[in-house]
Amino acid sequence: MSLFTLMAFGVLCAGLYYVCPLKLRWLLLLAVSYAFYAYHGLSALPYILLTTLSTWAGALMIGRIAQKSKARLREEKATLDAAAKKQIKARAKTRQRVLFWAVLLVNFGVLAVIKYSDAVLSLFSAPSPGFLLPLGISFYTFQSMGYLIDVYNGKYAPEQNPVKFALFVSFFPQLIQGPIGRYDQLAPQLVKPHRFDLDAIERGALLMIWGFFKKKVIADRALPLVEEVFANQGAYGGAVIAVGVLFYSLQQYCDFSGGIDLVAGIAELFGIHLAPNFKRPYFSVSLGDFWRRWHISLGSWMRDYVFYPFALTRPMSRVSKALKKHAGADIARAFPAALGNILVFLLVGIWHGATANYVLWGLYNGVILAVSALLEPYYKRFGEKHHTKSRGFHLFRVLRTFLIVNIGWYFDRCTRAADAFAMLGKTFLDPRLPQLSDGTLARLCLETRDFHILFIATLILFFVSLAQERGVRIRDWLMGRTLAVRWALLLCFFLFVIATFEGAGGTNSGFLYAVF
Amino acid sequence: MNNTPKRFIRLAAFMLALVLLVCLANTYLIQTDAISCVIMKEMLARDDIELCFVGSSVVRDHFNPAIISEITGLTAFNAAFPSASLQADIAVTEELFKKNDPQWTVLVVEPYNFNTAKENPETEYMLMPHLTDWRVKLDYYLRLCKEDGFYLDRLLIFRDFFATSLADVAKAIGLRHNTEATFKKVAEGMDPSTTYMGQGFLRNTPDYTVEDDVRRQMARVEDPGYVYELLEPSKEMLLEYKALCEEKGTNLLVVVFPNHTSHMLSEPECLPYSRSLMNFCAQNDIPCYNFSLAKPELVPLLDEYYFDLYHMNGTGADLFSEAFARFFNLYAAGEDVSGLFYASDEEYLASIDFIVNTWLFPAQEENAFLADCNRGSLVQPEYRFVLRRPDGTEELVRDYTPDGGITAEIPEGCDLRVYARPQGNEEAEPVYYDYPTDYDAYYGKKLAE
Repeated sequence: MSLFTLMAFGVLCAGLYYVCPLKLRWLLLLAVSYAFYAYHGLSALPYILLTTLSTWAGALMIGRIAQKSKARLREEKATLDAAAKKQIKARAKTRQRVLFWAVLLVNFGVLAVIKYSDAVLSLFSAPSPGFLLPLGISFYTFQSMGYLIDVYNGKYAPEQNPVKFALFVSFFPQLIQGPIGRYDQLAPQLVKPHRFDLDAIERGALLMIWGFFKKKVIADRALPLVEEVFANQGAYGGAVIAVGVLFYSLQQYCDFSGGIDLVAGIAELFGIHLAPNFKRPYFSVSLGDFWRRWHISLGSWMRDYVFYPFALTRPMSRVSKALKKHAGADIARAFPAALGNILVFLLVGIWHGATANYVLWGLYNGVILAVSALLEPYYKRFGEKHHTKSRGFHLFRVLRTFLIVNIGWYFDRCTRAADAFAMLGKTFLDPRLPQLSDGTLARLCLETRDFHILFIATLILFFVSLAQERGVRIRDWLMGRTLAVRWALLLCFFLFVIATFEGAGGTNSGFLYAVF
Repeated sequence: MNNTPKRFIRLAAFMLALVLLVCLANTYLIQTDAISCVIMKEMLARDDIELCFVGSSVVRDHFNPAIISEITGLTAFNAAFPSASLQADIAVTEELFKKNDPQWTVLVVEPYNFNTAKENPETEYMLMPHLTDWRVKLDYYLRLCKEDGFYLDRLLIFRDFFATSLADVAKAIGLRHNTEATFKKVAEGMDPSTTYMGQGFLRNTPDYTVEDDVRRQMARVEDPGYVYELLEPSKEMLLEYKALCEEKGTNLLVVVFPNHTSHMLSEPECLPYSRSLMNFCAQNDIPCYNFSLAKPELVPLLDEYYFDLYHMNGTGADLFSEAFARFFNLYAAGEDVSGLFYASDEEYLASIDFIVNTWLFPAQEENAFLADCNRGSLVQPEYRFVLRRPDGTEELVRDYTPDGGITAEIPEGCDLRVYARPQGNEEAEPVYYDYPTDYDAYYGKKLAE
């Protein structure tokens, strides 16, 4: 589905939503979500149905086991001794655990088979089974499993209504590339009958246009240069490669965050607020800060469901205690976090793809975060002794983080690890600086006009992001201006977007993260 | 919540302002083709057009309305827009018919019109801003989008044909609102060999002809085996055009422009598309004549009458216009004009008793080359190969034989030249081609592009 069709579909559904009787509105959302999903291929429907039904039933049964066990303990409170109570609790927990792991394995198993069977079978030179990745399978699987884990941990009661749960899994704006929603935040909004609110709709539309701007004006325009540099890296020196990587930074950020803004805008047309997924990551002062601002919903999912459960396991506690004796309290405290970071980023890397470049990319991030965690106490002491709160040092940290992130992108964008190393080597050892001024840049599939547009668009993005970074809520600020100023700004921006977005004759890429 | 009527009105007003802004951009923030603009202005200002030629730049450059008017006694006019296809022709004709009741409408087509039912987007920016009737605009827009699906892009034409400077904007405003004065200024900066003569005619007489381009560029394209039949949308539009003329009560005449002989021989689609068009017209009672098949006694289509591979120069246009007017007078008088044209493609090809041009391309083997030529169907060629040194002296490699294949090592700085002539015709002026000079001049440039 093209971006325009997606936007038109969103607007049309929002129109239908508000003419639909209040009580039926959430059912309409479910119907259009399934229609959206079916449009992308009927063959993908069984996967989302499997996830929906298995997760709903599994969570419900886990909840009922807990309820029954609690009820029995309550009823037989007087007759049971402590050992018997413990036994009842343990039996219930065992049954819950079996169910929990069964549902978890089924869902992640399906995801793993679909995503990784090609890569695994190719190791044995076996033919590919040719599975097609169903739309949004990663995102709805993660979202559903998050819900299952929360129910298992007793964070909230399971959803009784399978139809309502189906809407939570399939809400169409987030199907393409997230964000990964949390049940307690998203589900109540989905079933709540939202009334027509022009103000909210205008805000949603603005967010959609902003996302469209990032995706179609910046990301799609920068794409040909990125593809050229990465596809023919042998022809270019390190300086041009660095330009290609910088453009990739821009393209990837605008593609992903633009897509998220767009779908968040569509959701806002229905009065629904999706979880934030980006918070101006390139203003980060450390790699850890960057990953708290980039793909936030995946990061927080990993933090809550992988990092903490791993870091707080008994073996890790034992290791931590042992380290306290031999390496000191600081190291002992940081070690589980360091190891947890490596594990999380290894998983995130593998989630991107079962290839060496992604594994290396994951390890690169994980190891840097692990080392940062271990060195954290020393940083603190350094900060206390030196003047590290200055603007200059802040800028240095931002640039340093930007450099670290961009080195990681070499591995993320190259399809072969060897290419990534070769490009990285060239960047630092063979820059061939004259290529920056000998007309090579002009032959990178972009015309002078494209560079001008990208420059202006990136400046707009930068200043808006800077204002947001300083706490300005752009939409609120805009709504607070006089009509003349607001219209002038909006009309200029809209005309700029209309004049410069990549149309039918240009690059029309899908969303970068839709393939994960 | 603030769902007051005032908010809705304000939102509607904002949307309207945005639409107006886009319309404004589509009108003024684009490049404006001055010739198209003056042609349209002149056409809309007149109501005396009796014989109108509708089509692309081949109309603008080939038909001299002053000569045609003089010979036919009818006031002629060229409603010509570069790259116009049938969609544009329909739109232009609808505009033409608003104030004019021409006795005759001559639709001039090119075989290239028929290899796709899509129109070159460039035509749209030259034509669309000058259409005055919104119904014609909408109809034209929908016809274009029906074929290529670019609904949004075509709605926002200023995106693709944006003004690159303030001078472009000033020119667009000037041409729209003060056409005559602005065009005078613009004309000062135009190629001095081109002159807008009025009545939609652009006389083009540069001091060179197309001969060297033909020699270097017109290698024959191998027939891919494609069936060159009119596409259904083209047929539909031809019928719509016929209905449009019938409704207006004007006589319709379809004319295939006088194509360059080298094109006719080297491009496999030229003859079959024209034949398919003529068959279709015959079936649907539309008079149609192919001037590429005109006999030399009506008009000789020599290289020297063209300034590029598609357009006639002023001399050629005058000559052709006289010929067309003579033909028209006969045709309008109801006389049989079929004798002025070759009856079939075969007869036409057989009538070409000379070699138009030759070429020499590298073969797969090292130092091996293959010569070929564009020629009439009855002509048997023979080739002579020489090594041509930088000082112009020649060393014979092989004298005339029918064999186009040759193996020869070309020393640095030299050319391998092939001469071609009809077999045994020692009187004929041979045509030639130099490898690598001519090859690089065209193919080297093409590859670099």
